Parts: sequence; structure tokens; C-alpha cells
Amino acid sequence: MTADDLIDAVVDLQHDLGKYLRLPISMLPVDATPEAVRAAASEALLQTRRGPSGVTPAAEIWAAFVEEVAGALDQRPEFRRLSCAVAQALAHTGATDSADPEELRADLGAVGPAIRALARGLSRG
Amino acid sequence: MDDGEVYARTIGESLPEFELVDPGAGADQPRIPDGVSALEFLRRRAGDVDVVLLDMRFDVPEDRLLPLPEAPTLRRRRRFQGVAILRAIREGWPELPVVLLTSVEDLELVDVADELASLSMTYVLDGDDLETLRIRIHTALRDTARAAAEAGVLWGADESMRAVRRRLRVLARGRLPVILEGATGTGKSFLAERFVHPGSGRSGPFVVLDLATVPTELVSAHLFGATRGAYTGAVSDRKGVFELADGGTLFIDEIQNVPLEIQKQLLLVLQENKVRPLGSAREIAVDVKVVAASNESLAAGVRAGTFRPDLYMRLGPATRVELPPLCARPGDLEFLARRFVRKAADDPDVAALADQVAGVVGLPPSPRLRLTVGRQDAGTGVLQLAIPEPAWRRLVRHPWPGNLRELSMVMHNLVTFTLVAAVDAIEVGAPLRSPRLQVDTGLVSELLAGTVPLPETPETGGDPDLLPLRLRPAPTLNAVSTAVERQYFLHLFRQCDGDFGSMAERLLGDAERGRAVRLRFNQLGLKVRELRRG
Repeated sequence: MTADDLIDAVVDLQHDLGKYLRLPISMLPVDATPEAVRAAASEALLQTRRGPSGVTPAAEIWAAFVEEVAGALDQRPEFRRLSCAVAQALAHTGATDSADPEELRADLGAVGPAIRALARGLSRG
Repeated sequence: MDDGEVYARTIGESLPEFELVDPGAGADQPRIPDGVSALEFLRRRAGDVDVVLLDMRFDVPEDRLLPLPEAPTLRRRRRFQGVAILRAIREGWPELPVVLLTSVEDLELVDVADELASLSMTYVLDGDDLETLRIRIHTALRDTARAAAEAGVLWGADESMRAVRRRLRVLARGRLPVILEGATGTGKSFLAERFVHPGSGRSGPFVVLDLATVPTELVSAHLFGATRGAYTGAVSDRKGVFELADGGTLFIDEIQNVPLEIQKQLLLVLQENKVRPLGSAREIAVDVKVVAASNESLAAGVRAGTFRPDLYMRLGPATRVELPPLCARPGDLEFLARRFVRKAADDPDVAALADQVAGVVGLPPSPRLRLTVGRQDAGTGVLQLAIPEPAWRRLVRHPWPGNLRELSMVMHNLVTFTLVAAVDAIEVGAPLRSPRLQVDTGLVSELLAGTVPLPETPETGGDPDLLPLRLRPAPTLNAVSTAVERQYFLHLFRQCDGDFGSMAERLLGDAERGRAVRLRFNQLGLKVRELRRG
């Protein structure tokens, strides 16, 4: 993969995963109930991207990305940090009913900045 | 406009104060899924849309993507599809506000940020925060409302008009009167109504008094009102324009025509904010912003002794704004001509002609009209009126004594005659495949010759059957005959009280052919609405 291809792949990931993991919760009013946060988090994880090609959960988006970059990013510290952030977010999949709303907000919201950090690192070379 | 469902649904649920348009009956989601659909939708229903929320990335099949020449790969074309859609929106609907749902960081990855920033009324939404989005939508709607309030004001790029705009924006506020000076047709009344009045923030009405049309003996009654019997013919109480404009704006056109003896009364009203109708002992308090217009210098009137210096001082020389004549801002001519050509399509008769031509050259109905000069390209999807360089140079050299009014009329006629020629060509079977219509250079000369001011109306010796024609030598016989025909139509229009059926009966012996007469009426540059109003 060329450097441009890698950047393209990371930017796509930011759109498909970073943005849509955070979106349902960030769109809730500030005084949303814990149940509403949990429901939004569940939707974010299981119905992350919905488009012409159907519904894609977060885990699938991440797996497709890892497959596409095929180890080309393994040596980068930003990628390792991103992998941890994604793992922490995906750990809530199927378990949001009992999760702490603040923890859900933090874990799902952490993926976007981690992807952005990776994109910045790649742009700098 | 989003290929994914998440944003549209979430926004729909989270911002119930806004109505998301439904792109089609039976659609599951209130969203437009790709650029092709977006343009189709706007062509049909742009009038229903106040603001567009536009995603940047569209993960859709290749045949649903709009072209984006600078995107080397399909992936990038998808990622920056929002740019292609935004360009198309700016091209077709330049006033429509667009909120771009992406982050600046994404834009930094390619060199499109500058271009997006230069596309007016485009906001880049950082992050996905609901409150940010709500504020962005409100800002866009407020800007739209402001733009609507200024709708139709053609400022142009000339520094003189920019200065007028800056000055009027300030003067519109508060109760101080404003003096607008400028030659006929420079847009004094238009600016007063479309810019000063909305900018004043006053909720009352905008009232016009054109003193050129009021007999001297009735000026006082028109200004201040009158009670029944106050003067011969006053069969009932009559409100004056000050009372009618209470809480709003009063536009007094041709204020230099106020007789000297009434100027003192006007001064008192302006000083005390009270009017006393003729024949009444009662004073009425009024709260009116006065915009006084004149096509002559009021200061010169003061020097000549025809305008009271104290009234001039009360109106406020410091609030005087002079509108430049069109010939003083030649750099704006192309912009203005283009706008007037576009505006001509609002005329139902012109629109009918344009539809006829559009059908033959493969354009959808109600095509947009675009004026181009020389070899300029109008782009796709529009009906182009290509004006040759020599004809354009004639327009630039023309002195435009009637200013914007004259330019508007010439452009309207130019569009009409060019479309009629195209329709004539179609009817005789001439091949017409291109949406590029060449404007005839001779036509431009004829139109300009027809608009040169004519000498005083000749005497008819009191014979009502004699038609007073005003003619001057013109470069072609066609220009002369057009001038005659124009005046004859005007004469008939007045004789028939504006009834085209009656005119058709007189001209063609068939009252059913009023539409044909009306079409010719328009072709001759006669504006029905203005005549009926005047």
C-alpha cells in the first residue's frame, strides 16, 4: 500500500467508525436518561453504518480496515493506541444494557480522536 | 443530503423544530442519497428548501457520483463527493445556504478548504455536536432571511455602490430621514423599499407618495390627510401618507416637487412628529421614517430658491446618499445584464418561449437563461444567449440615460426577440440542436436606438383621433417601425383600459387572440404590470 492509500483508508475509517460510533450519543440532549445513552451506544456499535449496501456493525468495519492495511501500520504507536481504543469500545458490544453511561460516552468517543491522531501521524510521514 | 441514514434520522428526531423535506412519496428516510438525486430534487423543489445539510462522503455506486476532476481515484471521488455536489448547488442555486457536515481536519487532507470557504454561505461543521448543528442551521436561515429582505437589490461590485450599501445600512436604522438623490432609473424607490425599510427594523408599512403624479393643489391632502369638505371634491375623510405610514417608512419621491408653501408644513411635521389633516383641528402623532428622493440636487434647489433651506437642513444633508448613474460603473454592466436576462424568464410569455426552445434542444422545461459575451461558455443545462463582442461593445458604450430601468428593458427585449427568432426558426423547420442562441448584433443596435430619449410630445391640435407619435431617425427601418408600433400599442392599451381582448378585437378582429397581442406587447418592451400600476 502506498502512503496515500494508507491515508485514504484511515480517513475512511474516521468517517465510518470514528464519526458514527460517536454520533448517536453526541446527538442526545445533555440531560438524556441513562437508558437513552445505552440505547444510542448499542445502536452505534451494532448499526454503525447504514447505507445503500446495508447495515454494518463497528466490529466489521474495524476488521475490514485491519485486513485492508494488512500490517502496514503495526509499527506505528498511534495505530497501537487506536487498536486499544477500538478494543475498549467494541468490548461494550452486546453489553450496553448494564454499562455505565459515562463510560460508554468516553469509550465510544475515544475512537475518533485516536483515528485522527493516526491520520495526522501519517500525514507528517 | 447523505448516503447514510444515521445523520438524517438522528437530526430528524433531535431537531424537531426543523422539518426535513421528504424527497419523495413513500421514501423511508427524509434524505437525498446521492448527488444525482440531489440535483434532480432541487430542480423540482428547490423552493421548498431553506437550508441544505450536506454530507461530504458518499459511499454510492460509481454511476451515482458527480464528476470531481481533481479526485484521482474512485475512493477519493466518493470521499469528496460533497465538494462536487456543493459546486453544482452553487452553480444552480447560488443563494441556497449549505451546511457542510464534515470537519476541517478532513478538509486539510486535500486542497479544497479554500474553495469551500470561498463558496458563500457554506459552513463547515466541526464535530457532530447537536447544538453546533442547531446554531449553524439558525445562522443559515437568518442569513437567508437577510438575503430575502435584500432580494432583487443588484449592488454590483463597483466601489460606488458598495459605499452606498455601507452608508444606507447605517442610515436605515433609527428615525433620521434619508435623502436619496440620483437620476431616473437608478433605483431610488427600489432601494428604499427593499433595503432601507427592511433594514430599519420597523414593523409598520412602507408607503409611497410620488409627487410627480400628484396635482399641486392636492399635495397637502395627500401628505397630511383631509377631512370631508376640506377642499372641493373632498367627499370623505382622507388619511394622509404620514398617518398611513405610522410605524413604518414613508418614501416621498420627487420631493423637489413639493410647493414652497407646503414645504413649511412638511418641516413642522418632521420636527414635531404630528400631522394635522386639512380642515381638522386635531393633531395626530405619527412615528415615520422618511426617505426623500429626488432626481435633482436639493442643494441646488436651495440655491435656486425653490427648496426651503430649513427643510433641507431638517431632512439632513448628512444623510444624503447619491446613487451613481449606470454609465459611471461600466464594470457592473455584465453582471447586471446577466441578472436582468435571468429575471426576464420570470415573465410567463418569455418562459413559454423558452420552454418551446428547450423542448427542441433537449433541455428540461423552465430552463435557466444565461447571457454570455463572445466565446464564453455557459456550462450545461442552461439556455445560452450568446452576445457577440461587437454587440457587447455597443452596450458598454451606450450612455444608458434611463439607467437600470433602461438596461432591464433592453435585456428583456433582447431575450424576447432572440427567443422569438429561435421559435420562428423551429417553426419553419430550421435545425436547432444547440442550447446556444446567438444574439443578433443588429437587434442590439435597434434596441438601443429605440431607447434613446425622444423629444417632447408633438401637438395633436386637440384632435382625439390623432395619435401623437414621437420619432427620431434610427439606423434601420425596422427600428423606426418598432418605435411606431410600440407607441400605437401603448395608445391602444390605454384606450382599451388594458384589456387585451379588446385590443385583439381592434387589431386582429378576434377578441380571443388577446394572448397573441399580449405577447407582442411584451416583445415591444412594454411592461403590463408597470403600466397598470402607473
